[in-house]
Amino acid sequence: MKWWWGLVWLGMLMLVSCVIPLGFDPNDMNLSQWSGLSGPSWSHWLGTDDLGRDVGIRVLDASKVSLGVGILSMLISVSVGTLVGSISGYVGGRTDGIIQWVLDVLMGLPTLFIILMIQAVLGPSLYTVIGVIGLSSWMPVARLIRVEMIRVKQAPYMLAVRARGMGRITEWKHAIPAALIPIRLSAMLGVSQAILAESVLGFLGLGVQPPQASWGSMLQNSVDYMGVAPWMGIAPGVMIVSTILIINAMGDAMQEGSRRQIVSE
Amino acid sequence: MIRRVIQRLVSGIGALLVTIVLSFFLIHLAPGDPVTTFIDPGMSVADIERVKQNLGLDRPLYEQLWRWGGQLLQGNWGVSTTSHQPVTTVLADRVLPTLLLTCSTLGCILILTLILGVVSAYWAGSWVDRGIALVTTVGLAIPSFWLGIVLIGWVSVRWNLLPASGYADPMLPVGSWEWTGSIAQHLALPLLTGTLGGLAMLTRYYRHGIRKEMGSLYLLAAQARGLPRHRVLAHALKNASLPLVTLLGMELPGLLAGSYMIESVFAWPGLGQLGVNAAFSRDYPVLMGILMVSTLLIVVGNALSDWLGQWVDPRVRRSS
Repeated sequence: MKWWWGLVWLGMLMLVSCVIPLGFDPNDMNLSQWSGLSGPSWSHWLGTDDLGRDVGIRVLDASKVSLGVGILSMLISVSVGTLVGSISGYVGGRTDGIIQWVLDVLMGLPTLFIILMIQAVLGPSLYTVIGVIGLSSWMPVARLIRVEMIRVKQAPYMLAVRARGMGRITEWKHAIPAALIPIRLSAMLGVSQAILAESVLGFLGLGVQPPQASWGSMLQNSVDYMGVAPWMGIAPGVMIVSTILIINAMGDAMQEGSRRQIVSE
Repeated sequence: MIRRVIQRLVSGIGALLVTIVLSFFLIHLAPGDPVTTFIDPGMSVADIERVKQNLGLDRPLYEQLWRWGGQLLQGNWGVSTTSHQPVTTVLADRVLPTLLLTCSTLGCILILTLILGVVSAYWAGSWVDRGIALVTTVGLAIPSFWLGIVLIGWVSVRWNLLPASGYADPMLPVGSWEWTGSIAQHLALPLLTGTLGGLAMLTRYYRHGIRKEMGSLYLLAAQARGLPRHRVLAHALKNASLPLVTLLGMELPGLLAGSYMIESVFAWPGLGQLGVNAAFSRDYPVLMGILMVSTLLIVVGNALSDWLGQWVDPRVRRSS
């Protein structure tokens, strides 16, 4: 159960990020000098940004936004994908054909620009970010679930369920848990993809709005000072990369675990 | 075969239609009215109404969509609300840089995937393999725009090796050798950024594919006949390449989005940079044009990868 350690780390990050505003103000500005920028020092471990705000505290405070967006949009994409994919796989026939065609069409869309456009129209906020990322990434999940559903449908226990004759919806309900097993890896990848997507939106200034920080928006802020204050960009970048590495490693470990389970059965 | 082509065509047209309808309705959902760019404070309410009538904005939405679509088919894509040039003119200058960046990125990814995949599958478990695995794992986790910024910060600003942004030196005569060289210099960093980002997933898949193929029975038989290891590998390569082609097609939307992102970091004057700017200035006609062109590029790319997949694997050809 190696992947528990990743969960512990992410949980701690989340906890620290929620607790930190109680002790420190992440938006505490210091404009006493002509520029707020200062390198890492004892009073500000990771330096300060252009407004004299502590980069370390802001990076930790931003964790809850980035992780939250990652997890919530993954939940949206997995739920929608499971619903659509399981119906497509279970019902089959013409319904399946139509849904597959729709998926084909949706996967051919230039998602980034549609997200940009929706954000520009709706006005950026935390909730639109979560919704937009979640609703634009469920298609691969649906594909995966569909294939799994077709396989599960033929399992002996499903024959037993069908033999009771409790109607198709009950049958469908019983098939879903089994079809969800291989989703774990893609759900983990979904979280890391969503964190990346959030950082892109934040970088374009379409993510959460200031003064609340997210890793992406901190990166955007750092671009103008890349030459004079590299610490502004390095801290959030390292947070993104390390978090995604950990989440991907958790996914790999989970898959390894489930493979061993199947072999031992 | 023909059935497959028709299927592709239908879903491609579907994607285009969905893009058009979706963006059309989004534009009309947006707060504000296209009329506001045509009026000035001195106009009376009746004048504004007349402008609205002339633009057809008083008609129901579906009728507007219908008329707009008719214009589109006749080659009239509308006029940019920021530069007041026809959208087709605005887009025409931008397509080539985007194609240059995307295609060269694609080429680099493909070549490097083939090399790295074969190397890491052939020397599986060695330090070379582990090194490649490390690079690809980290490559998967780095947001490409951040990599771009870091590269600009170090390679361009600190070491002054390559230009940080732009397309070509505007002082050089267009079409000359120096001009081409200047484009190549400007291309280097965006290309590197895009390649590193796109490489990771494909290399991992390819390595896995070759390893799986190497374990199959027909290659066991080849080994039993005493074939040297590199020739066994050569047999595995062709069969392991098929999923690569399909995956490349599937990654295409992501690649295009990635190069749009990279364009706006490096101020590469392509569709992506234009699109990001258009989204911010709410230049919807341009944005819509870009959406359509991108969809078209993806559709064409998918069809190409489909065709390539059939060329690589005759089994697919026969079964369809």
